[in-house]
Amino acid sequence: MDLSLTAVYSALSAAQSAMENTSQDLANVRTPGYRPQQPLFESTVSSLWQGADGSEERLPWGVQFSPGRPLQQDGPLQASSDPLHAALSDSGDYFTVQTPQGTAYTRDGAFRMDGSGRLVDASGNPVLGEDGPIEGGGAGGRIGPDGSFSADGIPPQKLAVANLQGRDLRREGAQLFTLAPGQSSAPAKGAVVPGTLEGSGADTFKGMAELVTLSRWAESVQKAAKAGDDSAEALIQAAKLSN
Amino acid sequence: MFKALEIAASGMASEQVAMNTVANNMANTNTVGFKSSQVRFEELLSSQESDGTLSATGVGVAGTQRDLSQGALTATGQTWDLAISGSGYFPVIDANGREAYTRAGSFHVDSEGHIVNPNGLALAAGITVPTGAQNVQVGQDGTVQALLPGNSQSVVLGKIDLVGFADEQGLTDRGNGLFDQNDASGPPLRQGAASNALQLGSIQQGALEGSNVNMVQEMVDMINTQRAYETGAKVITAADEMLGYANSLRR
Repeated sequence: MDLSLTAVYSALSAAQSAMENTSQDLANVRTPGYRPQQPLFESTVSSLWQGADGSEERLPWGVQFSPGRPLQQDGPLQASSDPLHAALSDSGDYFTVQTPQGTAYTRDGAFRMDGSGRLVDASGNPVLGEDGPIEGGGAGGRIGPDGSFSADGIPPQKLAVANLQGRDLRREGAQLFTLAPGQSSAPAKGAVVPGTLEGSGADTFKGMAELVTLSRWAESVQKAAKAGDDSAEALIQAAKLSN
Repeated sequence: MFKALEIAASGMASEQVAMNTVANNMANTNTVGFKSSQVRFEELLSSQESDGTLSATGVGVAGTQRDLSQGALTATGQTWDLAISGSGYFPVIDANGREAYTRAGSFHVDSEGHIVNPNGLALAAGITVPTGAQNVQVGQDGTVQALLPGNSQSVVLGKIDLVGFADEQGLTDRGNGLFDQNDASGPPLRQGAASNALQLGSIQQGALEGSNVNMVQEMVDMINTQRAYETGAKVITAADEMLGYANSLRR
């Protein structure tokens, strides 16, 4: 089996997957609290290859792409006039929210009060405090510099912030992440910054550079395929001549 | 399946919604009581792949968020121009007899003596202003007093009660500066309502609350939106090229 064509196929398909990844980052360049994906290319090897002398070895035959863990890339902080908006100063810190599937983590601090006085995230999931969901707020609710939610007439409730530096995070959509099974969070390292919102961690310049690189890569792979095809054709012609 | 094209298209569609919102804000820079809106983007992932992971499908618009900050008050000197300084809404009764809520306080008195907004919807307070009423005073707490013919002292005609909501963002915008309550916003709350330490604003007679649209911010948003849209178009070109290379493998 000619390994060069398989390698060409693997490279083109890795380039396409990487472009999907870049495309996702670029589409989310204005999504608050978005974390870009760390692209991961890995070379792959063939199954056992038997040499003429009977020795066996594994030959490299291509490359594969997989989206790696979310990059700890902070978005720019933007001032917000909303007293319920907050950002986090440490790159590894996350707010904790309660979803129907369990606890999830987010960098998107665009919180609000829902109709029943709970503090919820932009998707309506209750925001967790250190003693469970934050409730009991009416009008006049605000998040203070000490990272606690307070409203007139109720005691302040501290927001639960977890540090997930170095953990395996799973993307759940809507800027939410969950921890891989068996992993646990660490206590917060930084502070809650009220009156600010974190923008997207995706970077247009980086994304555009990736697009150009991937496009050129695919082009050179196509040239390699053509060269391989040309040499195969030359071989066939030579065989015809010798007959 | 190569999804880069669809992902880029989702970004462009979302930016189009954002541009509509910017345009609407810009068009309402002079609308009384108008609150500017901003689109909220949300990362989209597909349903589960076979290996349990979720794959990227682009971006969507999760909704719009109103900027609830106070608009500038402008003195007009008109008796029935009322501005709210602080939070709260005027409850008015719509054509179907239901309550709607507005911050646009340019009222006038109709032929039947009702205090109505420019669309003819009467204040829910149900105050009737008798003909010949003079020297009308609307207090900061909403108390309406007037000097009636034949009387030497002002009489209280009624009180305009402002209402607030647990989640103002949840109110449904029905146009004409009117909002509807719903499950998300919670019911209308009056000042001093039990269990809610609600701080409603005060009423300023002879003034109107201007739009809170910040033109400079809108221009910046417009540029950002247009450039993000352009980025999507570039991704589509790059994805097209990529497919071209795949096609040209077979000569």
